[in-house]
Amino acid sequence: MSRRFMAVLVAMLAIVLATTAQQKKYALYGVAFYNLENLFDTCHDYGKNDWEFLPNGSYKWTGQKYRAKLTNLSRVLSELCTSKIKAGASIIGVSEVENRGVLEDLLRQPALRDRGFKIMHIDGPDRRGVECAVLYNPRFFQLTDSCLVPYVYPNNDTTHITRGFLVATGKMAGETLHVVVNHWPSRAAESAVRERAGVQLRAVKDSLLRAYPGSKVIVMGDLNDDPNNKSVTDGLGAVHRIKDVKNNNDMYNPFWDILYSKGQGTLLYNGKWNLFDQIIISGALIGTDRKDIKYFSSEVFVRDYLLQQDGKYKGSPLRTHAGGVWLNGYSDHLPTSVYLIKEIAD
Amino acid sequence: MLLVLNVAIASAQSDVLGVVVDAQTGQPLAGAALTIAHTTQGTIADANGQFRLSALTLPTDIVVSYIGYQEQTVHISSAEPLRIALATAELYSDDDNSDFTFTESQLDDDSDVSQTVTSVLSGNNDPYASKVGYLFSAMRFRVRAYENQYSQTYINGLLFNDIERGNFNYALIGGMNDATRNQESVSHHEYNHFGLNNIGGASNINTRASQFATGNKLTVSVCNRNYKARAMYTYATGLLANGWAFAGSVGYRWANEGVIEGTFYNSLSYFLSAEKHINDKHSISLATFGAPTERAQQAASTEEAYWLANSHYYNPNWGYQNGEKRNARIVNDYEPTTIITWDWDATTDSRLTVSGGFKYALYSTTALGWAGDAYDPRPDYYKNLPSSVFDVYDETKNNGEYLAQNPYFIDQYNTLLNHWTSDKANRQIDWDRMYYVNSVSEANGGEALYYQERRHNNQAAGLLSATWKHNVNQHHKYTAGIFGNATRGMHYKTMADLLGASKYTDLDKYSVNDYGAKSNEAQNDMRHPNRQIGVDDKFGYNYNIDVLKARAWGQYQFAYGPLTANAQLGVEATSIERNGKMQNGRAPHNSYGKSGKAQFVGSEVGASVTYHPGANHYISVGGGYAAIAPQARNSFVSASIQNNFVNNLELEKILSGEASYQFRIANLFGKVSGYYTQFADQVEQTAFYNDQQSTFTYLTMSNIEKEHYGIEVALNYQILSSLSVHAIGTVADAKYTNNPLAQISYEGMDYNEVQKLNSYTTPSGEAEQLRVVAENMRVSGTPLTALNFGINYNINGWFFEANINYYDRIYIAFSPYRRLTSTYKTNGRVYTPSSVDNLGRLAYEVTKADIKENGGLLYDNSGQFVKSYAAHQERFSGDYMIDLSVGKNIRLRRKSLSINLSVNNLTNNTNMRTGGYEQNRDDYYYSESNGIYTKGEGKAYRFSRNSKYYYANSLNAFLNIGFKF
Repeated sequence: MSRRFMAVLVAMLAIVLATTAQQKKYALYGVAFYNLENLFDTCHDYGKNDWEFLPNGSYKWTGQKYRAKLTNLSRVLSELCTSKIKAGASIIGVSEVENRGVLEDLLRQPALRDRGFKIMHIDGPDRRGVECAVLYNPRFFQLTDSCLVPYVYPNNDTTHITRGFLVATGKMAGETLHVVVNHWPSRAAESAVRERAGVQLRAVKDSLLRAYPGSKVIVMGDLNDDPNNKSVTDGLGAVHRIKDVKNNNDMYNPFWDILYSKGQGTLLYNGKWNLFDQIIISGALIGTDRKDIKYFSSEVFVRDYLLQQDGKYKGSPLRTHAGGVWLNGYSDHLPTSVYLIKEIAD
Repeated sequence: MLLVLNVAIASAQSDVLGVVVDAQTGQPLAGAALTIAHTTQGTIADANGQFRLSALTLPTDIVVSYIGYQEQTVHISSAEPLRIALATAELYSDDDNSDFTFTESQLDDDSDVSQTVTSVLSGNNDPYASKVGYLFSAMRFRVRAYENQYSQTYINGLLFNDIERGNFNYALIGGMNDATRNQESVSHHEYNHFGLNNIGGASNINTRASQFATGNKLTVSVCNRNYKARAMYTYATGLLANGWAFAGSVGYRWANEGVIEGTFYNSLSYFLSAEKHINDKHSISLATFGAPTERAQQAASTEEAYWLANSHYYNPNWGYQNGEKRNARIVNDYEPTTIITWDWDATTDSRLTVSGGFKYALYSTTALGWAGDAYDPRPDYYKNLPSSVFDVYDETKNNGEYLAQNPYFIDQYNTLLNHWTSDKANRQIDWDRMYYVNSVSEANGGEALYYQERRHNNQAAGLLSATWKHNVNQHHKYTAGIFGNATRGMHYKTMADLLGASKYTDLDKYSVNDYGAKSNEAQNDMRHPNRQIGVDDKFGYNYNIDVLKARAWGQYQFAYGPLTANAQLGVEATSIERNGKMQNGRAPHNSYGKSGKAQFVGSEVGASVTYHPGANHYISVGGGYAAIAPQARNSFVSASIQNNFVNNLELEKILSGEASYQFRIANLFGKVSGYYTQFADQVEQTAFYNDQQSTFTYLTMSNIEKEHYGIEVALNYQILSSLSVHAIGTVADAKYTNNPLAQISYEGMDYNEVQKLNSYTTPSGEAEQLRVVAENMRVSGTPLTALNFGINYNINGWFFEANINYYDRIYIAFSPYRRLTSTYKTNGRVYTPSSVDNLGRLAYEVTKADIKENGGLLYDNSGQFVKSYAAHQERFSGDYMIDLSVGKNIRLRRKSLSINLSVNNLTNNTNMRTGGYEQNRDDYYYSESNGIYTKGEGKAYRFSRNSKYYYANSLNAFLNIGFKF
């Protein structure tokens, strides 16, 4: 072999090595939220108003329908975040579950059985028995603490009892991460009620940051309000432009752009999309230095099978029940997710 | 002994004690949870990590868990104390974690494109399409002026458009509004799962029992339209635990006399559906429905008749018989249909639907018939009208001098005028006279001179379709299907009522005039000549039309980011054949037996692209080409007599293109679209009584070319959450763009005679195919300009809507006969130049105003065609109509009540013409010599000035009460 050739070969090798040596590796983690639309079992829970969801209740909620819903929902949950991460979501916040048992039944479905999700669930005060919960993959998130912060009613007026703020604290990639899951009062209640929820959620976030300085907070839930409603912009104080995030206390809402620029929401009402199922992240997750966990991107999870494909309501989410008809669908809400990224140290 | 002991221990209840500790440190885990597997029973370890599980049935498994530690399942087979050590949850290292790790180059930082954005553009959400049907229905508005056969209606994936005529007969599902509410509507090019959609769009009605809302619904309505009262009751079980679902609906619509005098309405409707979910993947559904209906019809009349009757709703179809109202035109319609559907959800992303259907339609209309020299019994027969005596518009006659010399005109005119205006009975059918005439004829040994016949158009149709849909992934999906329809149309007439007579011989009255009562030509059924006809006997004509259609089609949709593209393709084979059951004397060699099959292979292709760049903007462009078989009913020259197909039958071609922009800007939501459609080789047929030949005539136009184009706009502005305004409108044009070929056939005339009349020679002596001069004639019976402005307001569960609609450019249906090249020739409206000036310009004897009004053909001196003018087509003047609607929904505990009152035509505008047609009869008498016809003197009654008109209903209201419980 000629010297010239050797020199070229060595140079090429050096370049290849240099570039590969320079390639950083990153880990992606998926954090998602999904309103399951009334996931009830077929048995009566003492003290709860779940009469509609019994075999002889108004929904005629039989074992067949319950099992079908479990099959359907487990498929979605197993597919969340898989468009980017083969391993799927690390943390999934859910709302409208009746009790721990339905989550256990859900995790036993073939689609989820081998994923190894664990449940964090605390019974709440809601009259119908629906509450929030967290499903987490211990491979990516290790739970260290949990609690349910109750919603504070003005003047102790408990006419509309609502869900509290479910807090899960744990470690992701070695860092402390808090996930707060909540489900704000519905649109039947006036905006002020949800604005109050926003303020209280903000207080929960502030408390967590005081107790764990430098930690990261993700709040999520069915807020029953859009990103531009006062409850989110003023109550919680979420901004929609990354450049408006000034410190660790600020909250960034990536779903503003998804609804107002791209036109995709999570539920359809009167032909118009609303985006109630939001995931809002704290300032410490914003930044370009990926040596610690940072926000990467966000999306509404849309698949054909989640939508009505025929009939009058084509294009809207395929729910479990609509207008007295059992549709054998998924939920009236679409799931949302955010992706977090961290550089993997060599 | 050991065995027994083991068994004894196994069934005993024991207390199990133990402690839970950290596996690494040995520290007790206070508060650790111990749960009996698959139950919610258990206990919690105390502050020392110690626990007691009481009354355990051994052997059993218990699950031990503690936050931050790995969960453990412990199998307990004996009551011995336990020490359970839990390991801390592991922090996994990053090796072999390719399922969540990426290199820099693998990361796709651009997340913009990956967010799928669903399109909610569909027929149901289209701001124009969803409203235009009901807003403009009072004026019989047709979207894009397309005829109804271009809109396709499917039921469970079966195309139910009538295969003979092409359109969907809404009476098939009449009175079943609540049962057929589950409808998906799609526009042309829109991707769907049930079939190809033509330029008029398509809808699919879902009759599966599990899709009905559980419970009862009772609807009661009162109105003053063609029926006065309606009741419908629907019940559905929803999907029961045993996998069955049932739904049923029954209804009744009734009017002793509808809003139009002399009409009545009686219709019962029923709908039953059952479905069985065999398992998660398969379900079978069966539905059967029908609406036996009997109703009496209204007919259009001339403006003079309306003036004499002092009402635009004068109905010439009825008369008094012994003081009771009796309508001569009764429709009986019953089309029981059964559909069976099998759905197989092969995977969550694919489905096969197979449907089979059978329909047997019994449809008949009655009409008066008269033979021999009997006087036309229709009350508005032109000779009954004053204008048949004297033309008040003829200035040469309507002046003092002429009338002084011919005073009897005034007397005759006034006699008829008084006859019409003095008594209502005088302007309606005189049944009593017809019975009297028949009785006199009977007494003299003669036959019925007046009778009522019933024309039957029955059908037996078998339909089959199979559709496979597959959503391959987020970006690709496709549907493919096959469809088949075999229809036998049975057409014949029976004697409905002999009106007091007892004898009638089956002979064709026109042929009797021309060839004599004993001729072969006069026979309708040469195999059973001179048959005596009694009530319910078939006579006159009897033939079947057999149509077979087989279609294969596919649709594909590609979606990526803001772009969605659809493509559709279909191939369809059609076979049409007539089978004559009577050997007709005027076509003895080709009326009985089969005509032979006319076969066509047609195709359809279409594509559209939608660009959705931002939240609230959709830009769409689409185009298509279709070649479709002609309709069976139009394919025969005169189907009641002979087997001949229309000459030059070809596939009808449709070339279409459209573009639209749908947007939402703050509170303004709207859509703007433009379209252009070109038709070629269409076939249309008219039938009428021809004075010139004194016979009944069939005129078929073929090779018709048309253009439809226009703009559609829909805007909706939400002022407040309770108040919104909307504006919808279209300005369009739809017209004939050529002079189509014509073929004319006269009942009562043999083949050779007919051939002579189907000829036209140019001024230079060239024989040419007969044509109708129709260029620039407009499509009729729909407003080409329709504009709407409306307001919606809701408060406390009340809904108010007010609409003002403006309609313009409605054209009358023109008479093709009057515009035939041969008719122009006979009437002296074919012109050659009278002079040529030095610039070569040709001058003709006729004025521009005259030729534009009355039509004509211009040739040059060498016999070359120069230009054609179709006679002026009447356009109705523009006018507006106001509609209001009020409604309230009341929610009771588990029930709901909805009340809705809509009032149409609030200002009671009775002058709005919705359509009409020119009469096909001539204004002149003709004399014939050696096959050449020459125009004689004009009749006093000017048919060309006496078209027949339909008017929109006067002020009418509809009160609807729906109760769900």
